[in-house]
Amino acid sequence: MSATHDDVPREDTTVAEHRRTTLRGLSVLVWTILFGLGLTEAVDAVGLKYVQGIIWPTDLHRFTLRDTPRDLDVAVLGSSRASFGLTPAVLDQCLSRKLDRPTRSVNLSRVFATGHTMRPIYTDLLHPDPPKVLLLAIAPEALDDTNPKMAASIAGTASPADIPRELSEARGLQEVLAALRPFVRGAETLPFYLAGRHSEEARLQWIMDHHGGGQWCAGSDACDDQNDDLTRVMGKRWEQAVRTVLSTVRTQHFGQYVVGEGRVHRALLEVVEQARADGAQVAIIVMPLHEKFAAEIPKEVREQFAATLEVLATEHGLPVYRPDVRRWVHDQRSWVDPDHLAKGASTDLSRAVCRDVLTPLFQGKPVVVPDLDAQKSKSRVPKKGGRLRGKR
Amino acid sequence: MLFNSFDFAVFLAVSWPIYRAIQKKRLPRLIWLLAISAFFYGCWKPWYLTLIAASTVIQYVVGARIHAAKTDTGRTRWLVGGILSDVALLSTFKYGNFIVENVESVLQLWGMAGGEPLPRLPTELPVGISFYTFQTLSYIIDIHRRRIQPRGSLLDFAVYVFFFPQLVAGPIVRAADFLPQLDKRPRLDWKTIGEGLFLILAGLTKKMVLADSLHHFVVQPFFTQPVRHNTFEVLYAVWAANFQVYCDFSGYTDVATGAALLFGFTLPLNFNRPFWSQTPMEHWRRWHISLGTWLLDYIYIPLGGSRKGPVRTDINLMITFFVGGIWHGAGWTFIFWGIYNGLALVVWRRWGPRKATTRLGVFWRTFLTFNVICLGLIFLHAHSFNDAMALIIGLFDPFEPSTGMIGGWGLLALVAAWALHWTPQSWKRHLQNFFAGMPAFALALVVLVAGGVLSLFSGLAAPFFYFQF
Repeated sequence: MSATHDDVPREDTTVAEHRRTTLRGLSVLVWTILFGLGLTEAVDAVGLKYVQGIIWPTDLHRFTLRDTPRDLDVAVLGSSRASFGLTPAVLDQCLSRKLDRPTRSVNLSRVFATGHTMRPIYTDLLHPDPPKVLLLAIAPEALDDTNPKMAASIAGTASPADIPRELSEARGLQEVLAALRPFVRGAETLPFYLAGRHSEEARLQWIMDHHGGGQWCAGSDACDDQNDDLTRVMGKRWEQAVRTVLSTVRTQHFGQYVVGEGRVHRALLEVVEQARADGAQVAIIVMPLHEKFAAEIPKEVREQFAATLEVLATEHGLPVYRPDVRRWVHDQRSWVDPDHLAKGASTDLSRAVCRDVLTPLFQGKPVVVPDLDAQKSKSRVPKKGGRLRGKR
Repeated sequence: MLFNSFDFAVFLAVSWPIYRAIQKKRLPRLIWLLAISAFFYGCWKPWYLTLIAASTVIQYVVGARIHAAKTDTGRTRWLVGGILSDVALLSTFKYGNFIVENVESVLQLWGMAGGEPLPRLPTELPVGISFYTFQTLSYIIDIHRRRIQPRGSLLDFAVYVFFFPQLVAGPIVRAADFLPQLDKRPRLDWKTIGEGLFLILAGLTKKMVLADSLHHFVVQPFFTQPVRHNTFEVLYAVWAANFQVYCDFSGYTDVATGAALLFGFTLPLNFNRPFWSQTPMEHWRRWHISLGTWLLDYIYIPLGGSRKGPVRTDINLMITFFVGGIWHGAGWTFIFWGIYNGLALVVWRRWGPRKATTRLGVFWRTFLTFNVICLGLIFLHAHSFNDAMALIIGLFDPFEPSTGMIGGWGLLALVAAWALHWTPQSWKRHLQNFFAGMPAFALALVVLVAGGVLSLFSGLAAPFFYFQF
């Protein structure tokens, strides 16, 4: 009943032709790979690495165009929460008063950033000319080795030289594919740049050029206009986020949670070591979350996160700053959505970081740690022994 | 895994050299094809694989039993069993909730509904289910008709059903066309491979540049905004919708055909310049040809075709297009779209313009046919029947103030799609030959640059239109 299964070669396919075709096919493949890698290296070498589709929420490309030597006082690395929550213009206003000299701060946060994302950004943009203080602004997801946004992070930051490491560390198919992205990233980035797509977010460019990046700025009428525009744009974001994000936080952000080990942890420590070797002081800022968001974080995750912070503080000598969030944590007006601060709260947080973290570090004093049980206690006086001394 | 993704490029770059290395031996070649096809399909949702695997095994057994049955009654019983199993699969996963919703509506109408809504099936539409069920159905029907012999190897049959280029959105390949290709070592000369690569790039360009631009700038805003439009805007939008679906689906088919060529397989022609058609009947012979011929062979002709008089012919056409409509989706708009097109054929057959003898006549028939088809698309795109009727009312209102939607990149994409459709075939062949004849490094550069430029349009990306079917 079956049809014949003879493996009959086609008459018109000779052995020589077959060999020629194979060689030609493989040579096209090899040339494509070589051109792809070469283009990515070239694009990165001329400073276009961060001209990508994923430039929100901070325009890192504009930072690469700024004058060198950079002579930075403060640089912030973190996710979009840090981009909204820590405003360089406010940090500079405060810090320049405290230090009695002009200061220069930048926010190089990037959407979905984890410790793994901070490493290439530090290496590409700050090494070997680091800021005097490097602030690593994190939340529980930033230390999670199983972060679902890891693939996007790898795809957006890995260089050709990182391919073997990323492949060996990849968890799952998406991360394998992301690890191979440097083969084509240059070919994607160049048309993106030539078509001028990178300059469509004029607001971000302007803030990076004039006020060190981040989402908010301060100190001029132009800033007020920018802030008003963003506040208007973000007007309905709270409702959207409550509807779409909060319901998935538990499963999508914390379905799995691996912290204190693995590549994210290693990458974070490498940033710390490299920055210290370059001469920078490093501190960790724990980014605040609205109570509705915080309530979605499983208890075990909170405990693991706290334990890891403790390890970073005690074993690695990192000052860990948990801001006093009582003023904002219940107040919807302080947020554009449940995990991103609005202008007023961002200003408050930036001032607090300036007062409690930056000023002491610049003055060679220990970081001021607010009451770690801030949610329960009414006292704003730091507890005795509640200070974590920063390594300087 | 989508054709217009980096993932697919990596998939081809990894799977093709291995296939090339083992293609001389039949068994490893087929096992590899099945493995990569299952991987390709499983990337959507691994559990979809259980459905397609079940359908494959069942229809393989049914095919063998039909062939082995000693009586015609036995053959027919097995055939009916096979058809019912595929229909059950489709009914559950594609039409289940549609049926439940309509039963609920009828019960409410009769005042028999309880307080609680009827439970919905916890299902989603598995990608490509309409395509592979039609393929397996054609296999058992052709065996029943003694047109083909059943395959003795489940592996062969599984490769036929799973073959990744055509699995998700066709073309609907017949066993008689595909299975013999498994028995010969694939033709993989450079001309074929060059043609395959060219078709992939051309298809992606059609999809990502033209179809997605039309979708993003014209079709989506038009069909989602409840705004009154005038005649010109409705015409502009439905023309754009027609070209969007064409560029989307024929672009997908080009990529599928190109990918199949890389692995040494030829897929049937699925589009043949449909907008050149001078009658709706001709349009359906040029558009989604593999579905059209399927419906012709397995629905229209068994019903009697045009052999039983004009009235029965009209009825048969209506039934065929009704099935075509419901095949496209579980919704009244799809059913109405099918009925509309059946009706258009019936009306045209009886009262349409006679065969043209002048150029003007040809133009008029072509223009009229195009617009008859466009009008039907309103039902396919509209979110509800009421929305569709509101748009049709706008078609007859030239004095409604313009919303300013005509122009910009959407208009440019429409003109480009139109020009591409009317480009002589010889140009395409010349370009294809030139492409295939380029030195390896130049070809690599073209592939890379084209990929980079196409990635610019990824921000507009819309799902392939026919994935929903």
